Amino acid sequence: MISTAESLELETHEIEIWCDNQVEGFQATNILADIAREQGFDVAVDLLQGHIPRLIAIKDGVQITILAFGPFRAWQHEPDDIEERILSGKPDFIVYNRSTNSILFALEDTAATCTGNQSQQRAERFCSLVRNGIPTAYCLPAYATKPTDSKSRRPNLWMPITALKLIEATGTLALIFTYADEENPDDRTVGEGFNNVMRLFWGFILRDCGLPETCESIIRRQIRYMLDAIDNQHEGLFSDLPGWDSDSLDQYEESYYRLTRGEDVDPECLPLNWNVPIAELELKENEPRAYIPLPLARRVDSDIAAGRAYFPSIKRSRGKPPTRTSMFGYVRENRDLHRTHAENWPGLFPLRENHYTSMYRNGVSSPGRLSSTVLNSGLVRYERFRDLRISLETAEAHLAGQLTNEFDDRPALLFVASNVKADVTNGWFLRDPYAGMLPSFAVAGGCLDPQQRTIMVTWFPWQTPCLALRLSVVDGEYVPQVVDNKGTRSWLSITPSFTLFNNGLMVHLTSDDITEAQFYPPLPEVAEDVEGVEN
Amino acid sequence: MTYDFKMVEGFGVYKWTIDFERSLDNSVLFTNVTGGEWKNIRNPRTESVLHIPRQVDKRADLIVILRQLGVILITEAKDDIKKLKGDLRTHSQVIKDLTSVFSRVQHGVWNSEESGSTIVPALLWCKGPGMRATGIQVTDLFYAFESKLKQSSYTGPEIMVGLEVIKDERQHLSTRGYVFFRETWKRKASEIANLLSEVTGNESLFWDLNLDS
Repeated sequence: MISTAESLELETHEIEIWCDNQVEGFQATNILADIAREQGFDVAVDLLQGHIPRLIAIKDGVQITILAFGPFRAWQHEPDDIEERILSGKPDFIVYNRSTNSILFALEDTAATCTGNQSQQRAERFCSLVRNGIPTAYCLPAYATKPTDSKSRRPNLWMPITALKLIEATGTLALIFTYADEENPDDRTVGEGFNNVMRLFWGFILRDCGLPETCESIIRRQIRYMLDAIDNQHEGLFSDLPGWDSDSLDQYEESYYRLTRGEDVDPECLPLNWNVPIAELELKENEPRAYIPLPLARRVDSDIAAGRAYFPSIKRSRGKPPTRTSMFGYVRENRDLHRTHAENWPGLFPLRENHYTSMYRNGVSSPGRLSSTVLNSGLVRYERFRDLRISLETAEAHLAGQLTNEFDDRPALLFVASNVKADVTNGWFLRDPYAGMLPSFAVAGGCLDPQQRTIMVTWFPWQTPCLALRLSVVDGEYVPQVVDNKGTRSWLSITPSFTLFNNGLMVHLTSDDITEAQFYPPLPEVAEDVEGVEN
Repeated sequence: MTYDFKMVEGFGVYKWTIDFERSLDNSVLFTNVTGGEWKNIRNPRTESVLHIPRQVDKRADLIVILRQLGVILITEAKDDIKKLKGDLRTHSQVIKDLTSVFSRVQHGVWNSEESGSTIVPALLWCKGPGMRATGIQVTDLFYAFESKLKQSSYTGPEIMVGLEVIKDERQHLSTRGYVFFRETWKRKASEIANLLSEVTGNESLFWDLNLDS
């Protein structure tokens, strides 16, 4: 037993840890207790109300009480600020000081097999938290075993690049930690990643209490770790990483570290600027290949062949496609949803049945299975938006001469979200991992970087816009509304951007307010003689 | 200060998890309240992965080894006891599948003593203001469960365990164990009941299924 503030003159602090579930809260509390003990605190852990983990740590006349609450929404006293943050995806932990109503730190911690792009599955919450000024860490296995084949896999480099670009754009801490190795996949005790991220977690609590902490050394070390990861692996993952200089890692480390401290850094000193002429790149592999020759896919193929665009990633696969029967069901979901909402959306283009037919014909990757993967890679980089705009306007005749040319000189990224499912009740618009991939690719690709100002174009070759959008009449006008979920929040977070749906509807997002978006074809006007329309 | 919360299934699994962990060393092999750390069934004694369920596999919600008794509880959980009835058939299959996993020795991961454990089917539910779980509901559930187990070619012991979580008016959570058995398994059932009483601090309910036959 330790004496608490009631019996001694102590400076007291109370911190809340909000988490996705109470088991993780209990585990985290015990890990923090171990760290506190190591650092000379007198520590006690107990359970309030028989189940709420409580940690009391006392040292040098200061008492820190930590309470863990999870799952977020089960508690009546969940802070509004935390509810607002988790609407964009729930991280595992949010550290909160109720007395100042401030979020101190957030941690996304996963043991899921983050193979390849799957490591970006949680990027939507990571990006959202950091862009809202919350220091955030993401801890994942460097090697993990995939249950389907028991093989060990590792994540790609988009997350460390995303984190560094977020630091550059916001000055807010964004760090990637990893644990485990090739011989010991999934093992949190191997490597320093999990240990360090929990020490950073504790450090932010100490910092808020005004106590000495070691966050700075962890931050600096982790920035270097991310840079080293990029340096060691980029040649096997990217066509080219323009301007990357292995001899400048010390300088990169110093620059990103200074950014996290709110200091100014010359942007020219920072790496990861993709905005260079394609002709100057040493592309290892850039064979165009449209698995399913939809009109836009054929245009992209031509653009790659002509050197106007390229695939940034070289390591890719089509994954395990669903059965034909399942795929037919997914397409049917789109048809049903589209038909239902088309009744309230005059002039909504019908779905492109010929595109589905093309998928049935060209998407057979193994007997009885259909792949919806359209291009050789889901991410295509254009040197100039102008070329992508022309391809969009050529592939979709109704867009000819319609799209703005104000972004023509900027670089562009085309992201192909090839998923087909259309179960709106479960938020299948930008479902996992796409909800994370979109902001990760956008941020890593320079959408927030003033030196690049990359324009994001997302293409949903199979899905109806009705997964994300509805139309209603307000004050005599048709007004678009989004179906609110983390997918649509992720979508609205990247602007300016363009989005093309299966039926040819193009949405130009100019801000995170959908009512300010431009639609091609334009939204209908309310006819005065329409019965039942509220003017 | 009292913190009010809405009782969900996860609280039930969590409460039993911490009660087991605080009373019995290296006891919790798996909880299904989260996808991450807990996606794999791990042996906490060796800190090794014992089994990786496939994504399509139906999972148990809580798996616990009672080392001193040589017993493994494989538990299906629901917030409301009424919801458990619909899951009995699936859970019976989960028990059958996992029984073969737990019976295999894995060098350095799962030893012969552990692999010789007796598998005991278990159900977990929550009870509290607005969440009834009467004695009749509980016993009816376990007779139905026994019936489903027999239909599923279950060959394990004639013992079943109930794990109840009780939320009181003060938002306090406590636990109580139930052990249902047939006569030949009375001794083992009694040992389990006593151990659950130690874990929960509440006397377990001990029920001979023959009383109804």
